[in-house]
Amino acid sequence: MRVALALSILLFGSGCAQLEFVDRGRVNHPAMDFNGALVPETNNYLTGMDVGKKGSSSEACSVCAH
Amino acid sequence: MRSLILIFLFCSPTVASEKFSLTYNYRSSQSESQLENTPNGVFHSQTLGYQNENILPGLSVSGSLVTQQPDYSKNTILNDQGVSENIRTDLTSEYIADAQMDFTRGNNDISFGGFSFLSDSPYSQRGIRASYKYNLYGKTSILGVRLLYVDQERPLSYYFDDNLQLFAKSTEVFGHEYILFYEQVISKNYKAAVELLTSQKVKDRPANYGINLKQGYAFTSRLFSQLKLSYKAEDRGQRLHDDRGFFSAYGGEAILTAEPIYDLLISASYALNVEREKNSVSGMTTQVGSDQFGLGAQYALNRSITLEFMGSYAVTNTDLTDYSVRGGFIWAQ
Repeated sequence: MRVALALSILLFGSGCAQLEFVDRGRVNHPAMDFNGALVPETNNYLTGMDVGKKGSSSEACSVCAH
Repeated sequence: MRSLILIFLFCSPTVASEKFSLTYNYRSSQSESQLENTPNGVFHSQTLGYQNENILPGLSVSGSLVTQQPDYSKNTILNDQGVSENIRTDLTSEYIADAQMDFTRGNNDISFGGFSFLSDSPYSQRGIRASYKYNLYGKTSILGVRLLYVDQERPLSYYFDDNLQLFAKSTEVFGHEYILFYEQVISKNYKAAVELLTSQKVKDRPANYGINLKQGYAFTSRLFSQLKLSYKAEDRGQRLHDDRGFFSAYGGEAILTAEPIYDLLISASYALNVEREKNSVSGMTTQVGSDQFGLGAQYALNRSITLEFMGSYAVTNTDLTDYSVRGGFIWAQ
């Protein structure tokens, strides 16, 4: 019983709550994601060729996949 | 038996599959270029996001609700007398909803999404999008397409043609965009992608064609770089629909990202963009170049909460300046 309790606390404390597999190998690292940059997108100041709501560059959502 | 139950109780209910986010955006733009739907002046918005990555096996859903307080007070139009005037609007806030569904099965990734303004706006929009990706060789090669269809409203405005006759612009613009992309892992440190794209705002602008080249290189396991190059130009064989000339643009962006400790990512970027407009009658070309400097950071405070911050400063050769700041957090449940 004590062993089970210790084991469960150990598992919980060491990441059992995050069972997602995150591959942080070099090419798979989040910093190498072409669509997930940590810096703002660039804007246009003369031409308006973009289609859609990109114009205000403010609708960025941190968790949405778009 | 009791031991197994105890282990199960501690571990099983805590799989992280739901995420919530709250983001605040601030932008101060002093632009005189009169781009459609681009506010001038100070602009605020708040975004509430939700994502569930495990609603069914292989199926995830995400959505966001945006509240924004744009400033259109400096946006002007030509009225039916050919006189420039400010847009008349009493609105203080705009609301936008966005939803997307992503489905993965085997080597196939499919997504469908849509968005719509929920409130009045001089530039109200609604649209749908879809994408398909086929993963090859353990995702070392990815081939895909993205489609976007948008319907946008805008205030009634007029323009002078070459003979100084006054004509009305369309108050509703339908746009579509198609992107074909291919991404390839080249080595354990290096990957590249190419995007071929075409888009058009029907009866408003000629169709345009473009290419984006992207490269990512990992110097070490804690220092990464990205280089992006882009080119886009309108088809000069098509008819113009107002007094604006033919557009083209090219540019590049370099991003450097460091991971000094496991929970912290810091990025810095520099982008140079050159935009051109060639007048079809006079043959004159107007050129605007912009330098944009960006900073960003992401810090995992603990297992549940991740903090984000990013900012940018841009200046053009015409002395227009543009600041933006964005901050928020993600809560994973």
